[in-house]
Amino acid sequence: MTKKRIQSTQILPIGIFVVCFIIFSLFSHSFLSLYNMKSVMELVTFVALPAMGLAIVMLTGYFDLSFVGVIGVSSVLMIELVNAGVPPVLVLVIALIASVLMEALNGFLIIRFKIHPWLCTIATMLIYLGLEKAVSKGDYISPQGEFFNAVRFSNILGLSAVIWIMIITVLIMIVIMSKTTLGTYLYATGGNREAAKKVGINVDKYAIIAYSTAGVLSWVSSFCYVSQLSGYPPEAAYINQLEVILAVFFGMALSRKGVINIWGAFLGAAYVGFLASGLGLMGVSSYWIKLVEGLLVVFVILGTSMKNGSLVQLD
Amino acid sequence: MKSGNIKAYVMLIAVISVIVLFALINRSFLSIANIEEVVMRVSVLAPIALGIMVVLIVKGIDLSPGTSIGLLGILAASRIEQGTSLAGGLLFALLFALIIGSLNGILIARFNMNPFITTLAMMFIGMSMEKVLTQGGLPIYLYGDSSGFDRLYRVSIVGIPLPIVIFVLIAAGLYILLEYTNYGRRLYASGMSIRGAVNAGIPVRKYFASAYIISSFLVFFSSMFIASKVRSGQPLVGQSYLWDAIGAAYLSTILSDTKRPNVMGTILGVVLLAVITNGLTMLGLAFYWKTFARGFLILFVLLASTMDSTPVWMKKRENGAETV
Repeated sequence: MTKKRIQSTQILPIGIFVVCFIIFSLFSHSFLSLYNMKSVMELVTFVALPAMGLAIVMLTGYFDLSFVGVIGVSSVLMIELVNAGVPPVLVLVIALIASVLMEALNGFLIIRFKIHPWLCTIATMLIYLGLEKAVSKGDYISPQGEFFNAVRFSNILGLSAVIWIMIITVLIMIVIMSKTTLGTYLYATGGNREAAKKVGINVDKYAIIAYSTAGVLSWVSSFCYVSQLSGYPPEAAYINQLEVILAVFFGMALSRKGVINIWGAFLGAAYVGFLASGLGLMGVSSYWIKLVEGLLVVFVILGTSMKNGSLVQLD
Repeated sequence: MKSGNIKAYVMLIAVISVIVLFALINRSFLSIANIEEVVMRVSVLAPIALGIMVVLIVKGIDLSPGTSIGLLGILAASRIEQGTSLAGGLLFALLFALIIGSLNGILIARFNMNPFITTLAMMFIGMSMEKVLTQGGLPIYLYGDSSGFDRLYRVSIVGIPLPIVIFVLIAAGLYILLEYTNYGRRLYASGMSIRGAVNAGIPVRKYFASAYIISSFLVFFSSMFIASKVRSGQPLVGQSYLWDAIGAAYLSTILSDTKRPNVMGTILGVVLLAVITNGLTMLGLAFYWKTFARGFLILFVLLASTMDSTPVWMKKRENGAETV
């Protein structure tokens, strides 16, 4: 078995990325500059963190749209608690518990009441988005005190804290998913649920674990949002929702076997971020960026799916 | 089986109890003017939801209404602004709707693309086009134009506003198409089992594609009424309708024992969401509670429908009857 060989389905997405990268660096002097790379990586953080959470839920065979609401509630909760004078460490713990509970509730409802993951998470997304705005009164709110500013302006080995948070999270998630039994069981649950049950895996438990993990990642992203934006504009995460979903699917097209994985979700997020940045620096009007992204998705996924041979049904 | 099943009535009970609740809180909720307002809201949202419901039958999803609602309105408005006749503007938008639907259909049914990601990409492309056509978000206003575009939403046929007439025609037409024709039966069959349908000689791929074209075609009507209502082509109006429409379409599945998307359930779902939005607006609650309430209500109806409401003794008798 040749392990490292690139599959034909990967050629198109990787090829497009390489070509775009070369064009961008030829036509824009600042694209390859260190400063731009850093700012792109900061943007990628906001897509990559929730994308990893979504990837875990999707590889377990479910779906999650509510993460945008979870990030929102977690963010406004952090801000309000900090402003109420609660010590930062306690604030983070409370927000973590809230995020995990909110996502675990999805898992619980979907498994216990057999609700379609789509419908359930649309409903919870609306609930959480409503809650978020009920707390923030639909306004931009910002935390007082030094804690979040300290994170924002910190500089470790030339990179901002947000980038480090992303790098560390990606590494931890990759290790969990590829080196631990937890990761194996999560993959097994998504791969073939009946087979997983037969070998004694409690598939329902692992579904809830997957959602809870997404909750943890939503919490990490909300921390990044609050510290990087010095506050939380209403529905900030909701605006990025489609990019996050896109990143996961891009990751799937980039992977060797066409499966969803953590590394893919991160690469997908980077793909989306670099393209948007490069197009912007080349002077392409921001109006067209979504069009280019949309067309790219079609071409990238087309290559994978034409080989597939059978119709795709959701569910 | 159906008559003994309370689940099927959960939606109806929810709609009625929500109406009663709001009527008790606010007298003017049941006024003629307000009822008409709710019915108009339903008529505008229902075609989108029904379109998504058709796509759900083949176990797909259509996110493209998220932008095509706004995009088609902008296209029609910009054509009319440039001096095309009303019919010309509408035809142009209709043509575009069919192109969007066909593209979705071809990519999904011919090239096996994932429906979610395909329609998401279509939504991205549509977003860009909306921004380009409106110079980044300036609505195309049609104040004082003589084409009669603003009359679409307001004109009445034998005393009934046009959107309601169109809505009833669409609902009735779709109901007959899905329940009483070969097309409908084959569409449901293709959705349930591709292999089974292929073995039965059904051109499954054509049926899959047709679902997306129908969805896009129905969005055209909603889009025209929304644009006509505000007398302008507004960019980015679609997103708020999209989640309601998807929610209503999925809610329809709880009306049937076999989780089959259907016309009646979708309409009930749309009514439920329209009543909630309208009732909460009349209560004067802040806008964010409406988002919360819509989500909460969808969840509540779902939970109520999944709870096993048949008493134990009745179950035993049912089982006994089957064995006898």
